[in-house]
Formats: sequence, structure tokens, C-alpha cells
Amino acid sequence: MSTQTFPPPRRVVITGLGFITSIGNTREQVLTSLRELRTGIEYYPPLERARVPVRLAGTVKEFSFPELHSDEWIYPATYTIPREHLRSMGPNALFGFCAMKQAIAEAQLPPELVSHPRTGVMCASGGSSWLTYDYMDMMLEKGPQRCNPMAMVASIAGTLNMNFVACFGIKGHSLGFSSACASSAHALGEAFDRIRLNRQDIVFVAGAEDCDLFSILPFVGTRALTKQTDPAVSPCAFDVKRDGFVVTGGGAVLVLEELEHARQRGAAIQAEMIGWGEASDGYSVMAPEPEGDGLGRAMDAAINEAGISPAEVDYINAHGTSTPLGDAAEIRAIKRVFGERKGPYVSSTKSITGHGLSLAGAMEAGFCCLALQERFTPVSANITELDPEFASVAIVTAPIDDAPRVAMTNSSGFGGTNVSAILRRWDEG
Amino acid sequence: MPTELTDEQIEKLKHEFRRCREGTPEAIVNLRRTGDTSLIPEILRGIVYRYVRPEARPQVEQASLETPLSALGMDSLMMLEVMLDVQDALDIVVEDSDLRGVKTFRDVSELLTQRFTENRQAT
Repeated sequence: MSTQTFPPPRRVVITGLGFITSIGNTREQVLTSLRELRTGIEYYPPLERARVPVRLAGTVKEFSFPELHSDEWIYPATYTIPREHLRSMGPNALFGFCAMKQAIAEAQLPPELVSHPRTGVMCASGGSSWLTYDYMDMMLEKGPQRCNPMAMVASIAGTLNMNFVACFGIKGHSLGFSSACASSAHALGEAFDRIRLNRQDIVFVAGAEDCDLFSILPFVGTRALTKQTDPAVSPCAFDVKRDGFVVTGGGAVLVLEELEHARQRGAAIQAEMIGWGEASDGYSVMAPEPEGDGLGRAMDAAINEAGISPAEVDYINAHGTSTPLGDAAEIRAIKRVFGERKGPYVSSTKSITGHGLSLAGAMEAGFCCLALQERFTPVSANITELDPEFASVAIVTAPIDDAPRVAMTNSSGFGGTNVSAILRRWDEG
Repeated sequence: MPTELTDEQIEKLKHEFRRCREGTPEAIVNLRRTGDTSLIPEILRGIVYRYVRPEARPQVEQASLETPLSALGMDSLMMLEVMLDVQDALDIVVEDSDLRGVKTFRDVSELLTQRFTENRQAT
């Protein structure tokens, strides 16, 4: 009979965050926006010029991309980016790069730990439709040999991980994830696993998306976007009048690190990631399964892996895009997993940020980390008439004097893919 | 033979090359108008100036015709970027194979002069 014993699983903590988002380009700005419910969504003139029945976008401030050539791009002066790095980026990679710089600084990682065989990157970006379109146009007009040789790596979906490896000298694992709006949530889960399995000690989790006409128009085609024109009205996740989401872009980075590794170098631990789960609906390429079957099983799996009871989860940052079908499916899944009792608190931060697509999972895990560390419960904006079907769920419609200890973040994507991750407040000193 | 450029073409050239060394957009317009190929080495210097790292710009200012472009910290991708701009500036086509063995400002300038002259004669 075997007497083999296994070492206790390695624990995973978060030691750094970086944000370029519609609600702020620094940790402090994002924190203030979340606490004070300041929206990052505004009227976006290019949509009117495109003559589509959508007007709102979660714009990324302080950045501008007036021309294809990156020499003309405007970004905050706090970042110094050599041309040989910028020339292979699209807007999403630039957002991600800036968020990465913040996260590295916050985690106080020296260059030799950033560029180390035990340090990797797990990234998610949909690529740059704008660059793809304009460069293809140039290739067809002038020939591919008269086009930027970096056109492909700047445009395609793997652009984020490819650029990060080059810019930051990443020597560990590097991978891109493509599961639509669950992409960076999958990246987060995979990063967690690789640290738990002793394959890496540090993994940067990054999500990023462009935010322009090219990133928005395809969603107009799906009829998934709100037609409202006032960001104080919509998006309004969980409200009866919800009619769709608002697209946003930006970049978000989390530094995941093995606990003892973080302790030994004296890192400031912000929160612990204790589990994650994933499941697919097996239902439709676009619509969620009406009862939230896959998302419910993803939440169950996350709770099971975390080794906690559902009652210990006291906040859910919902996927909550503000679509009629999506919100209903998610709330039904939450009711099934947590019972009909009041709690955990539920809110959607997408009602002030917009929906970050591939960026959403990482961005919202970052928000959960802030909520745990700074001890506040994010509010779900723009709810004036809660959907009566959701009345038994503790949806946070106004500020509450309660801080979560265990927070869950949900993400769902086209194809019925679902991810749920759980973070816990760090209070072990 | 002088070639007339429209105001629109002149503005486009000036806009496209405004990030190059001072005087470069005007030299490009002048070359395109007059066909004066003696301007080519300075146009090349002005375009290279745009693409090297800022700390290498003084070296570009001081470079002679015998200076290899690789001495200015240019990698192969920067060289490609320079050649893309040069083709647009001079309205010529340079094949990748033309660049084999081309190392110094003189080598590149002679190649460009040859292509520019051939192009003028053909049109």
C-alpha cells in the first residue's frame, strides 16, 4: 500500500495591478470611479458619423490614434516607449503595455524577475480590427512589400503576448487566449494553475482591447448594444429597461505570484486567488443557455476548488452586460448556486466601464482585488427599476456599508463559454 | 524635365515626412519637382534620422557617405521602414534583392539615384 504523501498545494496571491480603462488610467483613478460610481462611458461621435443606431462607448481617455503610423499616437507622457517596441503594437497592445508597466512597478518586481524562466505571461486580446482593415487595404493598393513589415504582428489576436515577450524580455510561458468575452478570465485561471502546479512562480495576466469604430461596429451587427444615448441611463444591468451593452477597450494586468515567493521577496500582497472554474453551455454560438447552465457549473467548480461553501462568497462581480437574455441567465445561475437567500451581494461594474470583451475578465478580477483590499462593495449603476425576477438576489443598487472578504468574478463569452474565479482578502499579514 | 506637383501632392508629401529631419519634406518636394538627384543623400539622411533611436540622431547628423547604416544602431526592420519611406518619397520601387550588399549611405544613395533616374526616363 502506497504511503506517498503530496505537498500542500502552492498558494497564489496577487502582488500587482495595472489599469488603462474607461474609468481611469491609474489605480487611484479606478478606485475613485468605482467608489463614487463615476462612469467612463460617453457619447462617441464616430458612431453617429457611421450612421448606426448606437451612440455610446466606454472611451479610453488620454490616448489617441489619429493615424496608422504609431509615431502619431498620443499616450500619457509618463510612459516612455521606444519606437522599436511601438512599431509592432496596435492600440490594445499599447494599453496593455502601459497597464503592464503599472503592475510591474506596483509589484516592485526587479528586471531580473520580470525576465526570468519562471515568469510568464497569459494574455487575451481580440487583436486590432482597425489595423487589420487598414493594412489589408494598403497591401491590396500598394502591395504587401510596401506595407509595414510589422503589420501582421501588430494586428492579429496574439499581438499582446508577442509584444510583451519582446518588450519585457519574458522568458517563461507565454500564451494567448481566445474565448471571446471570457478570454482574459481563462488567462487568469490558466495562470493560477501554472503557479499551483509549480510550473511558474510569477505569471502576468493581461487583457486588452482596442476601442474604436472597428471594435464596436461588429457588435452593432449582433444587435447586442444599447441604443440609449445617456450613460446615466444605460447600460443598466439587472434593470427591466436594459437593452444591451456598451463596448469599451483598454488594458488590465494582474501579477499572480506563488505565496512563498512573494513572501521571500517582501512583496505587498493584495489578495489571494483561491480557485476558478469553467464550463460551456453546449447550447448556442451566441445566446446564453437561458438558465445559465454553464455559468452555474463554472461557479460550482470555482467554489469547489476554493474549498469554501457558497455561503462564504459575499460579493459577485457579475458578467452583467445589461443584455435582456444574458443578465437573466446569470441571475438564474446565481440563484441555483447560492439559493434563494439574500446574499452574496451582486453588482455589474460594466454599467460604468462598458464591456471590455477580451479585457473584461482581467479588468474585473482587478476590480475585485481593489474591493477586497480597499474594503468596499462596488455598486451596480443605473438601476431605477430592478427586474422583478431578480428581486430575491442582493443586487447592489446603492452604496452599502459592507466590505467583501471573498469575491467571485464571472465571465461568459460567445460559444457559451463561462469562467468563474474566486479571490479572498489577504489578512494573514 | 521639371515635373509639376499639385498643391495637394505637395501637402501630402510635407505631411507624410514631417517627422523627418528638418528640411527633408522640402528637399523631397524639390527633388520631385526638379529631378535634382544631388538631394538624395540628404533626403536619405533625413529619413534615417526619423527611425533611429533619439540618442543616435547626432551620429546621423555627422554621418558621411562612407558611414554604414548599421553603425547608427539600425536593425533590419528599421532599414525596411527607411526603404518604405524612401520609395514613397522618391516615387520609386526598390526590390529586396537590390539591397543585398548595400551598406553605406553612398551605396544606398547610388541605388536610389539609379532607380529614380530610370523611373524618370521611363515616364
